[in-house]
Amino acid sequence: MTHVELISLINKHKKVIDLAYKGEIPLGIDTELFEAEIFNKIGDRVVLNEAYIQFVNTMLKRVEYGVIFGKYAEELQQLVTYKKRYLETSDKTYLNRIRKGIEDVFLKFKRRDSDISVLISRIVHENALSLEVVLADAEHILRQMQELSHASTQTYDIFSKEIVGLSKEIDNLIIDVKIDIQRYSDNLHKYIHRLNGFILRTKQRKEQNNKIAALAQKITADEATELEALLRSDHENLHHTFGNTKKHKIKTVPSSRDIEQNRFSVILRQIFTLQPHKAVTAPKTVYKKQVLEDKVVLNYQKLIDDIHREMPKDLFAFILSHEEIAKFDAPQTKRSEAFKAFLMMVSEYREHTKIDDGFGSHHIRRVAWI
Amino acid sequence: MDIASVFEILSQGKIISSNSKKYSEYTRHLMDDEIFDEFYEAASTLGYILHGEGGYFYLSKKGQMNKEEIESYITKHKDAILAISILRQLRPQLDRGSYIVYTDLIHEYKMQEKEDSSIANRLNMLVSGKGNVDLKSAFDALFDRLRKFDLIERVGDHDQDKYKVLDAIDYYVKMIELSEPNKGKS
Repeated sequence: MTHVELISLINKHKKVIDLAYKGEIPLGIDTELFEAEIFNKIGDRVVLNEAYIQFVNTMLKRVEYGVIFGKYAEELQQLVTYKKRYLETSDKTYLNRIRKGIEDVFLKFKRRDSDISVLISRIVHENALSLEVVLADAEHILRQMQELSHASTQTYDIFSKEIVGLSKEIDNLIIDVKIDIQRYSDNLHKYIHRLNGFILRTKQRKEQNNKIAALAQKITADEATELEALLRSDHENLHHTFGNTKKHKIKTVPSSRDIEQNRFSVILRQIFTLQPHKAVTAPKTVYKKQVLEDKVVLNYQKLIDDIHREMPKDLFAFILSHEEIAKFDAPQTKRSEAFKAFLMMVSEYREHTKIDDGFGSHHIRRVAWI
Repeated sequence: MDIASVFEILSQGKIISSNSKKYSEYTRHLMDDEIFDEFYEAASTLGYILHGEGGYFYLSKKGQMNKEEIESYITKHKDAILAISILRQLRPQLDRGSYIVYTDLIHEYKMQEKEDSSIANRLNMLVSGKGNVDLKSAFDALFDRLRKFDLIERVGDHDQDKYKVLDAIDYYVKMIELSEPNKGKS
């Protein structure tokens, strides 16, 4: 089989392989995949090739946990055995082996500490995988770390109780190493705490995503009654657009008057009258001349002077009808400029204003100038 | 920067986020407690309520809305929730401050669409006003909506493909949490 043929084969069976990679064993696996050894049979069991899993993990930059966590029990057992042999034979070779063994275990602790830190950062910032996979990975790592925490205590105890007292050199080494092991053990607890927090957050996120999907489903089925009730009941505290409503497309339903039998049939006939198809003609391009525009600027001083002189009872209505506002063309601009001016007057000349409980003609508080 | 400028932006119905570059000047201004209180008072006098929790600011209106306003307000919220549901399905970990890449999301959508037709229904519902459109146009419309809802912001001028998710997404997520209470746990 060539490389290209292998890629094609994987592509052809990507769904089955993906399921197996995620931990499910799919049914009906094609014999081609067994021939290419992407899947293997162990007795009745079907497994995805370990080499394939490692390749994918490497390419997806997923960490191989086994490499990081490793095994410590055998090395510790070996240290105890060397001690026994040394006590039996007084052969200093065993002392050297013990020293080397302690150093190896220490170096493993040290390397593992930085590896775990990187591992947790990676999993916390993982974005490309589904939440299920991230959660499964995080929970797996957490279990491994809890075992490691136990192993750290065991190592500490073996160094303190079993190995100590053989030679001054080894005792000094153990003191140095124990301080660092204690530090790494503390770090491990911090990592466990961080990962626990992450798992909790991810579970909440998963729950939240289910809620979002459920509500979206209700919206598409036009059954989001709870949401509508919530929006209607708490609208005073919720965000909404209160300007430019004309720009929004608002769907309306026919009124009961429109649905009256006679009228409705007339309206329906009007709506469903087919218009003959008209030939489409290219739109004419209209070129506008570039003209200089006079920028309209509001003279606030004049406005303030007039307000002081006229002492209006309804400040907004006065500003809106003022000649300075009349300079602007569109009614919307007039209103917006008048409102800005009104807001400035109210906030800057608070002592000159008396705010009424009622609203004026423009749904804005009636403010009198005093 | 003054109250009138902030009011001009917020009165357009915008939610401005603290992690937005476009509105950073406005949000920095509002983060000053004294200015916030001053603006709160001014807005309150005029019949509005200024909100500024969770890293985003917006105005709501006291009193009753008319029928058109209610319709528009409910439709906008539903559309925003549909848009967020699409984002969260394509990027389950997405949160405020996350980055999304337009082309990556289209790619992910194509993968998921085959297995879950509901995502296509939601996208179609969001862009239904545009008639029968191709995927790129539908995604253009989706991103356009997300920008108008103040949920995302383009990162940089040259990298037109990358967007930042703004703090305002929490406003809708909180609403979804309220609308969909926990199930199966008592």
